[in-house]
Amino acid sequence: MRDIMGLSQAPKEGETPLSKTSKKSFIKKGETFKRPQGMHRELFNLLVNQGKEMSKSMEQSIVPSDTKTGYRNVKAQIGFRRSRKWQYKPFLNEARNDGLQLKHWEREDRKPTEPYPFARFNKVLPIPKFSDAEYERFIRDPKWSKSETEHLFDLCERFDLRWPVIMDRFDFKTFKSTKTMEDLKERYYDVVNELNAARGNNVEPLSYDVEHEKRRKEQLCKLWNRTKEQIKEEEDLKLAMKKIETKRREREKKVSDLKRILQAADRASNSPSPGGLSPGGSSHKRRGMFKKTGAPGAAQLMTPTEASHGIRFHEFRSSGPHLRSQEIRLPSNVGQKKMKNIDIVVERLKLDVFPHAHEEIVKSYNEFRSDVVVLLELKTALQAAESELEVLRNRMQNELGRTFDIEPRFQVKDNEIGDRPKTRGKGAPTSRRRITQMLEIIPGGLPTTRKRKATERASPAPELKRSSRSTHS
Amino acid sequence: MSGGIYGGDDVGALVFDAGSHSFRAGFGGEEYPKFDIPAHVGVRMTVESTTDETIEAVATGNKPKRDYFVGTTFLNVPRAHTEIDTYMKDGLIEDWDMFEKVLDYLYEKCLLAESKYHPVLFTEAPWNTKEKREKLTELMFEKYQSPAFFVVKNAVLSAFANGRTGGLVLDSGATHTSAVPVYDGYCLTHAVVKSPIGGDLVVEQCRRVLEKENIDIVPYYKVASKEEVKEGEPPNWTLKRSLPEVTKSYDEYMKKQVLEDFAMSTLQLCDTPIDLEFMEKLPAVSYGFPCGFRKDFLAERAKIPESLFDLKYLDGDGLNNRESLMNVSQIAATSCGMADIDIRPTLYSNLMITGGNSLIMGFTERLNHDLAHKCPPTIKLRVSAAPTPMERRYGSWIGGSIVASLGSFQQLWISKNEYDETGKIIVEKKCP
Repeated sequence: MRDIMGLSQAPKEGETPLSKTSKKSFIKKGETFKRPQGMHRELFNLLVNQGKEMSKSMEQSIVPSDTKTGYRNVKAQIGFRRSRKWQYKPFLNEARNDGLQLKHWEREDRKPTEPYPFARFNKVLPIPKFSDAEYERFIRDPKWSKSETEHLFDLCERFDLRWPVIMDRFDFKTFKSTKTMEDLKERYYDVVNELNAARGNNVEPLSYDVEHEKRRKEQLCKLWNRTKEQIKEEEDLKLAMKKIETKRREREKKVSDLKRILQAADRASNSPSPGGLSPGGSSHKRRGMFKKTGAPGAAQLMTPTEASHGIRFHEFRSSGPHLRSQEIRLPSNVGQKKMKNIDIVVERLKLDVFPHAHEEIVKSYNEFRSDVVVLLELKTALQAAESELEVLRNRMQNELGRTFDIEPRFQVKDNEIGDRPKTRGKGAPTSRRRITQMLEIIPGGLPTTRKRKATERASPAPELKRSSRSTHS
Repeated sequence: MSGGIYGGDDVGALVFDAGSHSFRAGFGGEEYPKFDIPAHVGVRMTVESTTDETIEAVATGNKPKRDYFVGTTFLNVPRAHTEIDTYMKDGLIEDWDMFEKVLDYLYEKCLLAESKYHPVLFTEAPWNTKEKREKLTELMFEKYQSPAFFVVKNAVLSAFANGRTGGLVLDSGATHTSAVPVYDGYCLTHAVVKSPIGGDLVVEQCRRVLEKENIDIVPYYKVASKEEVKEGEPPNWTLKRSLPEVTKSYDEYMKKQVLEDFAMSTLQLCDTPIDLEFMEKLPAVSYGFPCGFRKDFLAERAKIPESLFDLKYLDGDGLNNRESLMNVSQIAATSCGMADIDIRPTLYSNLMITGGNSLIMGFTERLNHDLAHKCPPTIKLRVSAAPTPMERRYGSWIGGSIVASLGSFQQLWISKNEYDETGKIIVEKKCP
């Protein structure tokens, strides 16, 4: 019990608790620091033991850390060896040939046999040197004296063939000559070539075209010195040329479009009954014709789709069954205007909008509508041509005083329904143009590609249409 | 090897840049010159009254002894019988005795270096003559025993300080403005164009304007004390007592300091050729003179430096042959025009502005605008200028410092041995 309590054993004789305190156990007063109130005990212990020998080992074992010795941030270890001294010593520069020794700071372990690192930057261009004999034999030139040539070569060596500088420093006054940079270059390259040839060096001769260079520089000077008016003139000319180009292209496009429409019309009128042909087959033929007429001069034209050959009806290629009435359905790429005109014609001619879907009826009906579309396009083209003719007529009237008549077969604009144009006589149209008169044209010129419009089409069996569209498209 | 990565190798070279306004000196490899002393020197004939020495000197026809006062601290002290002179003329060293004194002062008092241990790099104007160059070489090797020596054109160094090896260097300094085409580190001497318009001209214009407005320019040294007065009111100052009898040139020099300070603080250039609208809209700047007088300056701020770009505004009865003067943009355009057509585009796209006078507000923009009108519209015009004032004033010195501390330059020095062998004409051969 007493051991636990830490009390001393049973007091020996004569011993008192007081006498146990021996002098040796006196701690020096100066070493005890009182822990300030409020400071944590651990913190105080740390602070008190700072700098002491024993604290190092204590601190080491307390927290594992990368910095080897404890809490203090150790200085970063850059390099793993002792620092080397630098000395201020004279050094030898291999690029110099006079033995000048300047002093600089170098690290003590630089070997004396190491060359001066910057000496290797002393690059020299190999300029050939010629002797007097060589000069006499190979390089004589009436325009160049010997001293001039030597001076030129000296400058070339000093300035490493930098021609603007050589030209600048050439001593024209002493030699009383005026030479251009091209002359200097020419002389240099000629001499080098001669020397190479004479000495038998198998290098390719340097070719220098003096005349070309002179002309090039002259042209550059002219270009530089263009005045503002000249530049403006050039710009104007360029613009005018562009305009002419675009006009030409437009004209060509018109011509080829017309050709195509006419071809389509021809084919439509020539073949008596396209009965045996399926819509797919006829469209193939049309495409072939399109290719023929389209090829010449159509490179730069916008190529309209087969819409200009009439209507390309939906082809049923799937193996499953389909309703024939779906074949009557107009494809969605037929534009508003065409649809409207088809409707007008069909109505005027008192046809059924939705005939019975018999095979022959369907075929004829589709071809008829296709032809209407072709006719519409032709009418448009003809109207445009008529307007042009009128314009030209007016111009001719104004300029020349004369005029010419536009033949009736060309007149298509103002024909009302019911007009009976004469089909005989000179310049008369070849037919009565009944249907043509029904067509309404909103002015706009030749047909061009139209984007697919997501407009509603009136057609029978809308649900079926939708479902078939989803399966076929 | 020190600075091996960057190509630097410092050998402790000295770089000297002698300009018309100041002389820049320092050690190679440093950022700015440590010493910038005025190019003016105070000269006083030694006023020893009739000693045997002076009589002898005069009798034998030698020059009588003179005292030279070099450096701002010595120069600005008012002394009797002291003339202020300059040793530079037209950008070239004219008075060699004075120049020697300046160098002595630099070596002894400023750099505290012995000349025989340090190689020396000097700058020179692109139109420097052969004789002057040789004389300088002789001076450095014979008198100062420099171990190595080299001279470079200051335009090339300005280009290097801007980080380029080629381009058109437009240096607008105190006495003149020059346009020098630099190609690949060499200067095309035949295409150099210079005109005597520069900082001094601007200062002179300021003086005329102030005289016309009856403002009395009182230099610093006269003012003993002054009192604050309201703006525009006549100044209230007292003259310093016991001032020695100073010479006229000293007085003029001190007044010029005041004017230079005035020019530095107030002048501004318009971006486009000046018009009334700009002059009216220009904000006023108030300047206080050393005597205490304060005034607001409005339109004069723009009119005075306009004479640099438009000679019509040049006010001067004393200016002879005004027709032969060119304004700054004409200088640049002419110089480009004289260069070969192949390098002209590189010159225009690498136009560098340097020199102390170019620090006038609006100088770069105005030059850009004027040149864009002059040259064909197809070429690319790019005007660059160092951003800080120190870099512009010390442009050529900084270039010299770069060059002198490069490792690959160390093979180019003219050493004393070479000089001893060949003589002073070696400078023509080795220094491009």
